[in-house]
Amino acid sequence: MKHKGPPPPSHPYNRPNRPFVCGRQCEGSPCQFGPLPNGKCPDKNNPCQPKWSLRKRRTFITTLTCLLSLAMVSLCLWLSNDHPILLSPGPLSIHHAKLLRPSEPGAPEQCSKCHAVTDNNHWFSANLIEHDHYVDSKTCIECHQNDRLSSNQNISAWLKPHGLEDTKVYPEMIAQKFNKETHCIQCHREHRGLHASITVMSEEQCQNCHQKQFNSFNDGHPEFKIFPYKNPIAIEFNHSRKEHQDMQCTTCHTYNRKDEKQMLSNFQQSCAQCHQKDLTDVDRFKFTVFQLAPTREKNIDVSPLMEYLFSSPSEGSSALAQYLKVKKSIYEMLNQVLPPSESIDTPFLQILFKGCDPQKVIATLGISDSEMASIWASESHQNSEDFFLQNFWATLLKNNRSNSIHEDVLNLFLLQKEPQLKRIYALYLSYLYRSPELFSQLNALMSQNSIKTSDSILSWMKKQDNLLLKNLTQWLYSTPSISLTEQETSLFNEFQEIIDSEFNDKTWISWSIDKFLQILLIEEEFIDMDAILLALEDDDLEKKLSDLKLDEQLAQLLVLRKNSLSPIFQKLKTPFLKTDAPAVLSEQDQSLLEEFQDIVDAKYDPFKWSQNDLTPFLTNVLIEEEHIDIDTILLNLDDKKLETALKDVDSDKIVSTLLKFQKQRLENIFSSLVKLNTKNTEKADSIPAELTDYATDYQKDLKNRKQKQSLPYFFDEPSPQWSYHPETQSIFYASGLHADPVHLALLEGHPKNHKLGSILISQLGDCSSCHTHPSIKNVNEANVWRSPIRKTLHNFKHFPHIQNMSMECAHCHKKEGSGGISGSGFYPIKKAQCTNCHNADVAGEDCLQCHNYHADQLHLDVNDAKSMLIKLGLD
Amino acid sequence: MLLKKRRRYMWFWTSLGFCALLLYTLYARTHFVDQAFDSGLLLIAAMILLALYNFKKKISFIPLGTSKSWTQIHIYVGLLSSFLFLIHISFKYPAGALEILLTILYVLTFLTGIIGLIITRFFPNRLTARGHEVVFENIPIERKNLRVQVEQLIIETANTTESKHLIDFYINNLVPYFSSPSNLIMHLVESRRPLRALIDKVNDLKRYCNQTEIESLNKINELIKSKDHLDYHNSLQGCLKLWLFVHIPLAYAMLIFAALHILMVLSFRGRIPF
Repeated sequence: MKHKGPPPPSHPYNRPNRPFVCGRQCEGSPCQFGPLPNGKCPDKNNPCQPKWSLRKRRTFITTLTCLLSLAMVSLCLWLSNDHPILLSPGPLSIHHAKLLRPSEPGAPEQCSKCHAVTDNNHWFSANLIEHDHYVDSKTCIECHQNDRLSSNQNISAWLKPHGLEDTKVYPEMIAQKFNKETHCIQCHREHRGLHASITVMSEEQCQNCHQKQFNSFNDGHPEFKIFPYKNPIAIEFNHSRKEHQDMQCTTCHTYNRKDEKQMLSNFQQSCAQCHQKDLTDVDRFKFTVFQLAPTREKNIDVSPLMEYLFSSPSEGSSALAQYLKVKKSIYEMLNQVLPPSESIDTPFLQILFKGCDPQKVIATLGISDSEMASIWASESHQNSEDFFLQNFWATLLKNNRSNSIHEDVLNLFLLQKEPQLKRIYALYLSYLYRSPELFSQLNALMSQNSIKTSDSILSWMKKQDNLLLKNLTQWLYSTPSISLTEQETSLFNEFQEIIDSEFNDKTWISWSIDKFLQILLIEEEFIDMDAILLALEDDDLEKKLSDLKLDEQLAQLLVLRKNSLSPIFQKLKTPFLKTDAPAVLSEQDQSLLEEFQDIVDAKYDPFKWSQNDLTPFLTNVLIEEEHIDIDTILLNLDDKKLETALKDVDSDKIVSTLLKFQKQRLENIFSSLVKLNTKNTEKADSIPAELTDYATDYQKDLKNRKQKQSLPYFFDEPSPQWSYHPETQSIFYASGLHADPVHLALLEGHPKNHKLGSILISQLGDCSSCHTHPSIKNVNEANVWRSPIRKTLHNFKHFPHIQNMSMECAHCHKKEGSGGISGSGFYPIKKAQCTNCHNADVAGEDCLQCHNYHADQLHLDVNDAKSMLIKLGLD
Repeated sequence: MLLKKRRRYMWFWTSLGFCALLLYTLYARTHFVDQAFDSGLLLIAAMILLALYNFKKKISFIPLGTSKSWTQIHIYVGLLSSFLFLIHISFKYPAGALEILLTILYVLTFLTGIIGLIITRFFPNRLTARGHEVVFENIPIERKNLRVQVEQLIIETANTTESKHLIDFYINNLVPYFSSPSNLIMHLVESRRPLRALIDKVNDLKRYCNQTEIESLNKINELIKSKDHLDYHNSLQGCLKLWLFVHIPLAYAMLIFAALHILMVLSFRGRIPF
């Protein structure tokens, strides 16, 4: 509404555009001309105090605000050195936050643990000067690394797109954008909050790098080519072969929740049943140690050498010790008859004497062990890569477990800088862990030197690429997880002793419980019948047997006992079989398990006996050999079942009937026995926290078990088959063992001379009939004998498909008659087989559900976390 | 008409800009690993453009377009920057100290800008509707004149009637009213209550006055209304001038801290292609 009041009086004073206004303006009576530009009043008679105009005031306030802001920024930068949180963009994710939290309240954040430059002097200049943010990514890799790879390999794995080389990946990438190394923070952005996920990526983000993009798994995703048979396997095995067709998949392939690949069982479990006999073919699997040229006229007296070869091995000697003796004698013999310039006829001999100083080797054979260790520490051996010598030293040191020796070795280990020597000392020290007394001494010595024993040595060992130490580590830490009652445990241990002492544990695992019991209880008279009967609980047993003849009584007891022994038996087999551990054994069953183990150990070939089922085992053991205490067995009978079963049975059939009853019970025992006595194929994933406890437990097991099969091969003690052919004056070696330690030692430890190596491989037998690609270039690699777990970009896990979906192997792996892909015998898997379930409605189709960005998964377990904390100085 | 047509175009282009930003958001959040960097670049470019408006006014001698056009650009880019800011922070409340401060500064700057936009759109119309344009710097002069008129009137009346009613009334009720600006906030909300209350007081006094005094009181009422009118102008024009005292310093402070934020980002974000 317009106000109609009197118009305001006009005034000639216009709004000034000057910084100052008259001081009397507020009073309503400003002077006519206003202040001078310098802010002074022109009226000299009655000057006023000019004031700032609104514009000037605004300018002043703005300037003041800017100055205050700059002051705050400067203060922030100055304080950020000690209080980086001022500049932190947000809290870390929970894992990093826990790891990097300040050690004390009020202590500054540990930004430098991840950021290469944190001091504001440096990151400020980093903006002006080209900053290599690559350094920050390498900081991530210091903790998040795969211990199986070297440092450079880790950098390549994590900082290349998908860890692959340029030629394999980059052409499919957006060239300009990502044709260089990638950085961790491209995808993993921190400082987004405590509960933010730094690993979750969307499908579109994955596809953003790819030139070829698609709508979904079913729509546009490239068709599978030869999945999953792209990578060659190390074992030549045709699934479509007639002899293999009837085999169950699970005979050779195992899976667990963690493993992505279907892991192969070992030779003993998968192949030995049919192929063990092939290894005894001398013509196929021998190599000639020494052969004189046909033209040589002079006959060489090889009798000294043959004395070495065919004499009884000295106590504690191993194949390698024998081998080195052979080497020594050959050298001496050749020195007698051949001048040094003469050629040595076999590649083996050339390798034998190449790369090491045989004089010193021979010389040191005759001196004390500690001196040998010192000589090995000498400069002349520091660069030697003679694998045999390393093993030789280790073997000898192993056999000389006196306190003085191990103190010397410990001192040498502590002082030694040379990696190879450290390996040997660590190896030797690791043997000390088998003895609790020595281990405690070792701990004491280590603590005096402020070194943590188990963590430092074993974690160091774990990182070595040396096959020796890998196998040793695996052996040390492979332990079956068995849960038995006390009574069952004692029986179990007895059985284990039997197997350890007598049987070839490569074969017993294939026994069934029937055969096991048959052999243990009947043929070998290892079972304490009284003890067995005492383990039975049936009070009416005696009554029921009172009317039976002795033979019949025994038969009944056998059958009855079989059932009770079954859990124990299964327990024995469990560590080696692919089935889960059986139920806990009762005390009675445990004692029986031990007894059975004694029997198996004492006499039987475990590999063979384990193949049989329980019935023949019981038949042979319990009945034919009269090992069963009938009373004990009958005491454990289930009266009603037995009475019913025996009601209308003829006397001849009583035995079989009784055996049936016992069989079920003894199954577990038998299985456990088999498992314990064969090579443990479970991968040792973690290191026990308390090695002392482990050493103690393991010492007990080691005493009773044949764990030598898990040892590095060259520590095994095979029966070397040295043979001499007078006609050709050649000495050759053949053992008939799979992965013969001497063969392996020769293959994997020879100097890298390609020409000789290839000849050596050809001489060492027909390994390539099954192993696809051992060559001079790769024979030193651990994966040449077994299919390696190659890094892939997909993370398919069998377990949820098999366990949860109850899918059969043949659902995806369809056999192809004539060889299939890569000789596997299977058709490649088609994408359509997967899209039936992996769509948006059913099982999901996210990229990360099947694919890894990082081809090699991060390997970070508890001990890695501990070592990481130590590295960060946070422990 | 022309103004309405121009504003229709501006709203069209603004809506288009919002749609483009929305699509960008949907695309960037799923496709860009570091969409915050991209949106941050756009945001700082928008802020610099907004800041150039004030700078442009200082170099008006350079032909860079009309001030009216720049104002329009400033307004619509400022509105779009809010959406860009939300994209930049991923629609989440920030966690770092610097980021929180930046957010606060931006929000305050944006809000003061919105307030400024509102008052610059509505207050001039209200002042025009009120009538009697008066220059803001002249308001103290006008106020002084009114005070002098009232005092002269009261003195004359008192001399004529030999009564002190008006003098007492003036001293007790009108001196603060005519001496300084009054009811500034009430004028912002278009409230006439203080005026009516004061006039009611004056009218209440009439019952105790003779005719001469009543005539004087009527004149005083007119002067009170004139003073109210002057205060209205003082209030609204004061707001029109003073909102920039908040908006501009906040904007500069925000730019300074944004510069620090940019420095930190460039230092620690890594060599990520975009």
